[in-house]
Amino acid sequence: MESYRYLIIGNSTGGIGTVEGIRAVDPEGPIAVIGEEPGPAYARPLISELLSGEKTQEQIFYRPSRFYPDNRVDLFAGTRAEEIDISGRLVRTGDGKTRGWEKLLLAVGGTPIVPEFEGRENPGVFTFTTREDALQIREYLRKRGGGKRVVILGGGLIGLKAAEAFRARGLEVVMVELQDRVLAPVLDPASSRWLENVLSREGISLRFRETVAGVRSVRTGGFPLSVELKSGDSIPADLLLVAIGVRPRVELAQASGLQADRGIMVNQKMETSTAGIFSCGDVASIGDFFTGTNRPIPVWINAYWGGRVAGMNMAGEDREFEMGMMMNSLRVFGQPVISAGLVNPPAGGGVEVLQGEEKGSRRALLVRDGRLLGFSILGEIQSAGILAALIRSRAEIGEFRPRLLKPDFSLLDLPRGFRQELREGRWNRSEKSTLV
Amino acid sequence: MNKLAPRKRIQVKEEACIGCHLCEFYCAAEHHPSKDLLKAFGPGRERPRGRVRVVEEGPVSFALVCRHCDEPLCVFACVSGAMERDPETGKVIHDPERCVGCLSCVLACSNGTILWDEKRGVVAKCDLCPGREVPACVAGCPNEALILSE
Repeated sequence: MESYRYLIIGNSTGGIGTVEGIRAVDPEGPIAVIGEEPGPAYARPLISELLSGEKTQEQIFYRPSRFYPDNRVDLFAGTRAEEIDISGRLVRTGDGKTRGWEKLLLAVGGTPIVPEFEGRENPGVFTFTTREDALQIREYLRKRGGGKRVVILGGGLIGLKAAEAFRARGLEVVMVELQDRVLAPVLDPASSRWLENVLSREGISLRFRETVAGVRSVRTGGFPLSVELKSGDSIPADLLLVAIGVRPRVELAQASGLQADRGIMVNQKMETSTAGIFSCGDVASIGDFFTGTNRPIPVWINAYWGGRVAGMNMAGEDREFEMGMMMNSLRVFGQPVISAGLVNPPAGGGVEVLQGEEKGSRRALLVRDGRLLGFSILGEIQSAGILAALIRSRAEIGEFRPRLLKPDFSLLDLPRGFRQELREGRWNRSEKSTLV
Repeated sequence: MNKLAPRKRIQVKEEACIGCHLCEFYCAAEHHPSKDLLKAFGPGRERPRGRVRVVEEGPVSFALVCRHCDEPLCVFACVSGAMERDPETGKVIHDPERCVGCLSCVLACSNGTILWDEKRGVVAKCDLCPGREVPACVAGCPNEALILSE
């Protein structure tokens, strides 16, 4: 039986971050990565480029091909971890192999949520979180002569990127969203409206306060499906894409006795309820920057960063992951969109929303007790990172507050002492910041 | 091993900056195929963009330039793998061929020094001028407002 100092279950950004974290500390200890999907890690958010045809499979690899040998990693891809034996320190995989470990990490991500509507097993119903999803959708459309119209359930990040890819393929897109706006958890309402204007201009048909009640195989006007909406309307379409979010894949952790609720519970060292076992990425329930309580925060940078911290700790360092907050950026139909922290006022009040708009750009900032809690920006995004650092540092923004709304906001708009702290990389240790 | 890497970093001395913007020109020329100031900025040509930008207001001015962090959030955030920290040199380098312009690094950089190039749909950042002992902006700064620390 093979045995490894470090065994990593999950071969996407969390697992790769862990490898790189381990290797930053321990150049030699044997590492194995188990990945359910075949092949080396790919850049998951780029599956929309694969769907549109802008990129090939080879062009969306997340790391160069030399990554695994260079880091002396044994990759076991295309097999699933079925069982963890904590007391025996073993993992059994679907290919019948059992491997030993000294330190274990789980970065198994999430499963797309598909509501229990009638017809969900129809071959024209897809989710969109893996490379295989993108390839299968392409194949499905190819067989249908390219297709003509798709319905997307969900106006979130995945739904929007999919919409863009389908438009690039020349398809009509109808987007169905339960909320009354797109990107509701990620943008303030006025920014959602702004983005909706872009989407409408690009030919996306938006249906709010609406959801899919069922899918029927009825041939209408050459379409193979009829997507039935809650309101009673039906939309003939080639394909329904369900993109309403993912559920952390906690089953493996729970079955092996690790503490997990909505996600696998970890502390700031990214260690689970069992010493020596770590978790990160979309499956992990991490400390929320604002409330301190654990919850999954499925954001790319959190997955990598949490993995890196976990890896360093697995190799014997003493590091803490200190940022559990929402951070999102995307460019859809050429429109830059960035948000971080809290974008909609939390219950309890006391939150001010500062807003600014000028040609081609808008920003909304949430402020409480003289500190920045979050922001949404469309258009002029160049200095969004400084705003994110201001949130993390919990700095008082009193004197330079009006400047935060400037589209050309930069380091120059901060007090000299504070910008020097940012230059020296001291933004993320609030206790060391003189301005807090 | 990362910790042992020899480090070069451009330090910004804002009290010495006279706001001449020469660093921007030298940077853009160095990253122009010709590596020549006159050819890069010659008449009829599209004005090249550099990876350093001077901001100014009243008497205060200074250059915004990547500090090549030891634990670079831009690398952590990059979804495509375009952003990479070289463990040998400590340089944070960006491959525009792999960049998809997702803006994740722009949101991650606490200094706002990763420059978004709307026209090309990719970001641009300081690469410390490969092949040069001293980066072009540092060499060209007339008042030592940009200095190379090792």
